[in-house]
Amino acid sequence: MSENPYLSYDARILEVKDLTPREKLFTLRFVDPEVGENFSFKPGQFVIVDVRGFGEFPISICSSPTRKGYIQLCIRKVGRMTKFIHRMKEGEIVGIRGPYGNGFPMERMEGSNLVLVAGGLGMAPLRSVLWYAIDSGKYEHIWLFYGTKAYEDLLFRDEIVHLLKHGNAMNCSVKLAYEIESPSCIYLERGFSDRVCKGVVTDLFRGEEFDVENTYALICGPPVMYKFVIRELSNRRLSPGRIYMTLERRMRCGIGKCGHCIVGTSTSIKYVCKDGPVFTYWDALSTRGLI
Amino acid sequence: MAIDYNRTMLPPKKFFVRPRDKMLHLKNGKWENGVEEESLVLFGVHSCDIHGLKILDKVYLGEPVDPYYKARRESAFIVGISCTPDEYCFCRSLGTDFAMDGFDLFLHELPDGWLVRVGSVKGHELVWENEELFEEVTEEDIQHFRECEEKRAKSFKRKLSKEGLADMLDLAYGSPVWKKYADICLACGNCNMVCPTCRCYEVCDKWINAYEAVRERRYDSCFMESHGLVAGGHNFRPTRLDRFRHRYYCKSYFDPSAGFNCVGCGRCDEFCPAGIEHVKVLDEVRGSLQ
Ligand SMILES: Cc1cc2nc3c(=O)[nH]c(=O)nc-3n(C[C@H](O)[C@H](O)[C@H](O)COP(=O)(O)OP(=O)(O)OC[C@H]3O[C@@H](n4cnc5c(N)ncnc54)[C@H](O)[C@@H]3O)c2cc1C
Ligand code: SF4
Ligand code: SF4
Ligand code: FES
Repeated sequence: MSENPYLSYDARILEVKDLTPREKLFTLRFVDPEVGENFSFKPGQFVIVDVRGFGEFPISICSSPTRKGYIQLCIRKVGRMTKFIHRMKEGEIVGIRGPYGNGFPMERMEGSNLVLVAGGLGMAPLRSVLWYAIDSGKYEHIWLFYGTKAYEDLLFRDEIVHLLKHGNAMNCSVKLAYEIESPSCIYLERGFSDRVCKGVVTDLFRGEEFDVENTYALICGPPVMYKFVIRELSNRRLSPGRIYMTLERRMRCGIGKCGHCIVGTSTSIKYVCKDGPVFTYWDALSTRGLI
Repeated sequence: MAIDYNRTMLPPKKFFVRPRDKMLHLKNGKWENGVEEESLVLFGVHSCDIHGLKILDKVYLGEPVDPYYKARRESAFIVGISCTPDEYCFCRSLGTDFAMDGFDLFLHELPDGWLVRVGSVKGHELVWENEELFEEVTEEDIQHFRECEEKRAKSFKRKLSKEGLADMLDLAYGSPVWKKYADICLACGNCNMVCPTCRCYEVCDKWINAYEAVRERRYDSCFMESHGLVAGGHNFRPTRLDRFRHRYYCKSYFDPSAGFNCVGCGRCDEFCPAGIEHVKVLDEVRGSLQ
């Protein structure tokens, strides 16, 4: 019997951490060390989590490939399957298959500036990029513009605050926008008045200029966000080929079989699971319906 | 045995991707492979359906290979048969009215017997093992074969105009014709079920007793509201218009390596309860551009 791509590998939950009331961070390690060794991924790729007997769902890998021996998934509780996994505890086993998708072209971007633009849960895949870029030291400067509903919704709070304070030493500038005011926000804003503000993620572009010949933008967030962020970037004349976005669709197989993630028209059809989930803005201009 | 049938309701895809298809079997917390090997002979497959299978091959045999599809496809013996078009067929305009490969044997009806084309090693071996059933082809047979084919070619009533179709459709994204038909469409999904190249599936885990479960896939339809729905309630194809148009775009996509996603079998027309006709919709959309 040849290999069956629908079979998942056992992974043990090493740690479950509450990030917010809705999101938990799961740290997983493959039970079979050989599977772990062979599991290599790029920032922007995703896995399918298999809760055997209950169902499967796609989740981005939010840890960096530079941190070996485990993978991390940041999972928001939104429905049946995600509720189920939120009840799981350290030591329990889930199935993982993947990694799937193209991921961000990290090699091509070496030596350039990276502008990461995250909205809400979009921080998850971009966290993989962020730490990959910082750990590898192969990138010029890294900006992270992160828009969140409220301070309480901020994902990876410790890391973000750490980078706000010490990012410069790592060539990394973090900027934060929140929509709902709370004492914690005001406290943060007071400490970093130039980098934390009330508003939406596009407000963080104010006053920023990029060397467009040497910069790539990487965007992930809710569907409504892309248009507005792209407008900011296009206003600064960043080429559509330098704008990468990672997209979400309903996915069942992750490998181009089930047909759910198909987007496009008669002139160009794309499978978000295997042709993406990372696309350039140019792809979106030439394939209707991507964003 | 009826060998002069027009078309079956479900195309032969149902033998390879079944309407309900067991994938994995859960026992003691471990998945067991559900791939079963069984031999299968499909007798009397029309050329459009052979082309349909070739399009499914591109999907399911492309990397990573779908093991269920592959096992069934490899164990199947396919005997094609010539057919006479009815008022729904438009395969000729798509070049799928004749199959050059994708079968083991292909039977063409002649006035005095059958002309048999051999399309694979398996087919060749079968002929060798049953040599007493076959005779050498004569010049006259070839002549008859040509005449039959020419007669058949002339009897097509429906034609899809393929020229510039992909670009035309893309330009006509906002055409009112889509809306007109989307309003008539019942969103029943029949057209997906019967199409030889539609292959979207949903996955579902089911417990058969307290210790064992199966993971099953079953046909899905892009006419269902859930097809483009993601968590949080966002839908990427929120209206029936979006979904109606999506099917036509998917069917009219020309894959450089696999060809058109529609093989012109006419099933979606015959089994549409709203009487929507594929070619007519596309022609009207084209018309609305001029
Ligand atoms: C490439 C990709 C990366 C993702 N990364 C993350 C991540 O890092 N963190 C995170 O929290 N979420 C992520 N998601 C979304 C996540 O897959 C959905 O939240 C999850 O499938 C919801 O399942 P549910 O059963 O809890 O929701 P329900 O609302 O109960 O879902 C109902 C049904 O719809 C399906 N469904 C709903 N949304 C999706 C979806 N987007 N894709 C596939 N099936 C869906 C479910 O599987 C379920 O069967 C990602 C989605 C994609 C496509
Ligand atoms: S779209 Fe209609 S005519 Fe074309 S292959 Fe499918 S069922 Fe047949
Ligand atoms: S068969 Fe006809 S009515 Fe049913 S979904 Fe298809 S086009 Fe609509
Ligand atoms: S997720 Fe199944 S085809 Fe993309």
